[in-house]
Amino acid sequence: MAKQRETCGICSRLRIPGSNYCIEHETALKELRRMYHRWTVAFDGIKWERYLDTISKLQESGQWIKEVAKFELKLSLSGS
Amino acid sequence: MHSHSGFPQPGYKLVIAEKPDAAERIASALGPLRKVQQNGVRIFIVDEGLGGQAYVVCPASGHLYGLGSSSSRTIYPTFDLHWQPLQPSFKRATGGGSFQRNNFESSTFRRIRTFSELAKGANCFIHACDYDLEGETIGSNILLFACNISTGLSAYRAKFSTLTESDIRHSFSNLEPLNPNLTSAGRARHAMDFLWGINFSRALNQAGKSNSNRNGNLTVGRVQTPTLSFVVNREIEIRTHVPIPSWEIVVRCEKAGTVFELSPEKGSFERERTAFDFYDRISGDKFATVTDVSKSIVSIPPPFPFNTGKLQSEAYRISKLPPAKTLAIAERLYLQALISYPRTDSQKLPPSINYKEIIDNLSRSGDYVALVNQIKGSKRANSPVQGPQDDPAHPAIFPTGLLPKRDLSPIESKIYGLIVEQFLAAFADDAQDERISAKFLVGGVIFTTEGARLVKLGWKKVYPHCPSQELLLPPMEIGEIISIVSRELRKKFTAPPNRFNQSSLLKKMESAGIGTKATRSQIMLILQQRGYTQTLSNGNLAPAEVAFSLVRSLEEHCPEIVSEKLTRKFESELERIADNVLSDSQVIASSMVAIVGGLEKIRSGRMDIGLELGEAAPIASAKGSRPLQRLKQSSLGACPVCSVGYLRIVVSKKSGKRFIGCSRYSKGCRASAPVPQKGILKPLGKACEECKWPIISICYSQSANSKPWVLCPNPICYKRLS
Repeated sequence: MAKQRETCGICSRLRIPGSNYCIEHETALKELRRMYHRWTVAFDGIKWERYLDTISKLQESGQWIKEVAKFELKLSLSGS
Repeated sequence: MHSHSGFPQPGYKLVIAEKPDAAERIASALGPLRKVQQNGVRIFIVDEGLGGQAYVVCPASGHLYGLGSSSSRTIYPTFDLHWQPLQPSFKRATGGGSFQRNNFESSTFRRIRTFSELAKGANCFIHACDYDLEGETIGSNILLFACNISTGLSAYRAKFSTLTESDIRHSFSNLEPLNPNLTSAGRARHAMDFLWGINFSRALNQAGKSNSNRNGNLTVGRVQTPTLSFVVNREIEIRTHVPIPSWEIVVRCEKAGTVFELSPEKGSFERERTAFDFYDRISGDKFATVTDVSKSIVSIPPPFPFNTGKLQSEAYRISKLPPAKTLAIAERLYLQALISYPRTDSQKLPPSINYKEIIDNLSRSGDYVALVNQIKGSKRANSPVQGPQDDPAHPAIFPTGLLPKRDLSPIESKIYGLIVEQFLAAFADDAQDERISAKFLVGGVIFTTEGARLVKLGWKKVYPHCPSQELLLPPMEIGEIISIVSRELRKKFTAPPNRFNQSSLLKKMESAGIGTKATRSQIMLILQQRGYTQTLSNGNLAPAEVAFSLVRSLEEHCPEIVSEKLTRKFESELERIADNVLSDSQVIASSMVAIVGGLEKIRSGRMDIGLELGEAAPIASAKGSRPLQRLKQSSLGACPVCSVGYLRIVVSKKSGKRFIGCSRYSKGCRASAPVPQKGILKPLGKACEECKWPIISICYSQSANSKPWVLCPNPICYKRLS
């Protein structure tokens, strides 16, 4: 039986089970979370929202990282 | 043999050359030659050549035989394969796959027939194709299938690295027996690649249809897919790059009008607060005290002689020339006997190439006399720099010293010039840099700076493509106090890795040990032609969306197809066939085991693979990548009836006859037109003024003098009817 096609919150690819995202954006989210610690050390503590906002605006950030950062920021600000 | 006026009596030596240009060079080196046409193939006859022998030199045109399989395109695994004459290459231009049915014999068949006819009058066969795996396969297939020579008793191998008269005559005076191991290795490589490609491509395409409506034509290759995974994985790294902040402090000093920068000895700072604290400590100081100055002279030896990869990467670095194009140009220069064989791994220039004679000959050319003068008196005059890599078949690429008989095109001149300059640089003295490093005390903290100055040009005079990174510092002494003009605290973020370009991907393939010097640039071209990668405006390579799905799906379900390790293992096994350590059947059998294992994994995961590959299809089409692009390329032009589809050549399954139809037939467009059943059909890229149907030409002969029939195919075109 064909799987139900649920798409990623950001793109039209298939969502992976238990996540809002496709495999690419889920990988980006994991990387974003993993690196948050480095940022908190660098700035002696930085809020998750500020981190997402800064990352989403940096030229050096990867495309999927920016997309996930913006999406997560929107989710965070909407309180969901 | 067919009696043919002007042919020598039976009993001549039949020489098999890889290309027509090489054939002419070989024949002219053996003695006074005559040119004769047989079956439309130009052959070269030397009535009384080297050793008083008669030679007939017949050229192939690259591979005349390729592998084919008679199994249905949907069946896998299939290990049914056989060598067969290659099909004509004009299929693509006619927009379909079934247009061999025409009046004239293809060039391949004519060449094969010519070899077969000439073989009947030969008493000895000389395999004089390029001395590498491909050349070996080309020549041995002709011997086996066209000349029916399998024992090798009357067949010999001529080995040469340049097409100069002396090199050819020397090789024909010292003929060697055929090397069956090299032939087996060449054939095994083809067999392995063929089996790998058809089985995995069939399996993937069927999996693609299993759980989605994907109807694309995905291809997988033993070297192609690991190479694609390099590009895809690099892109994933770039797209998931999280920049990490760091801070660096720079102090600018000035002495005698020269401004230079100092950095803290401990490097950059990972924490913002530490960086600011440090900056505060030094912000009040107006002077830096020199605590240490050290100078050293560093010798920089000339770059190693060119092998294929290095020539390609230098041509890309200096002129942005794609590696495949560089190799094609080098091949042309080789066929003109201007350079040695360009497909080599070697970085060594052996004395047997006769350095002195080459340099003397180069000095006769007005273009290079100044460069030759530069290396006169060099300590390396008789012992050029040598690299670590070796190739038993050919030395590094070098100029033969012969001067071009015709004007080279600008791009040929560029590549030839690069090879000459590099060759001469190998004989030049080292360049020398003076490196200065100094330490300073600022606010009780140690700062450092480094400078470099070129003190001796050496080989850089001859090969001026490696400019020195000079950073001049004023003379300084310990204890000296130098004024600080400014200071700065900079916040930086780590940058993502660079995308591959053609040169860096080539290096990556080389370092991973996949592909050969002859095939690597071709593989990159294939990835591009099949729509898996695209070249960005800055020359970098980016993967298409379908490539992400393909690589990700294969990494999950059948990682060995993507693994460079397995490909590298097979490469080394192929080398061991050539060294007579393994037999071709052993290596092919082990490859078959890997194929069967991989296919089983694809079969068991086909539903998931189908789903994963299916999701890439709409993305690929929407961005105008492969399926749509291919349709456009293979079509005759836009359909004037529905204005959406493309007119293309269709072959009726019932009658086997060809006609023009619209690609949107299944969506209801009934535009169609009959076309003549014989002749090569080509779109002319312009539309009929009257009805806007694409104008086509039909050519009934391949001769240059024949005039094609140009017509509008629309059966109800007013212009055509009138």
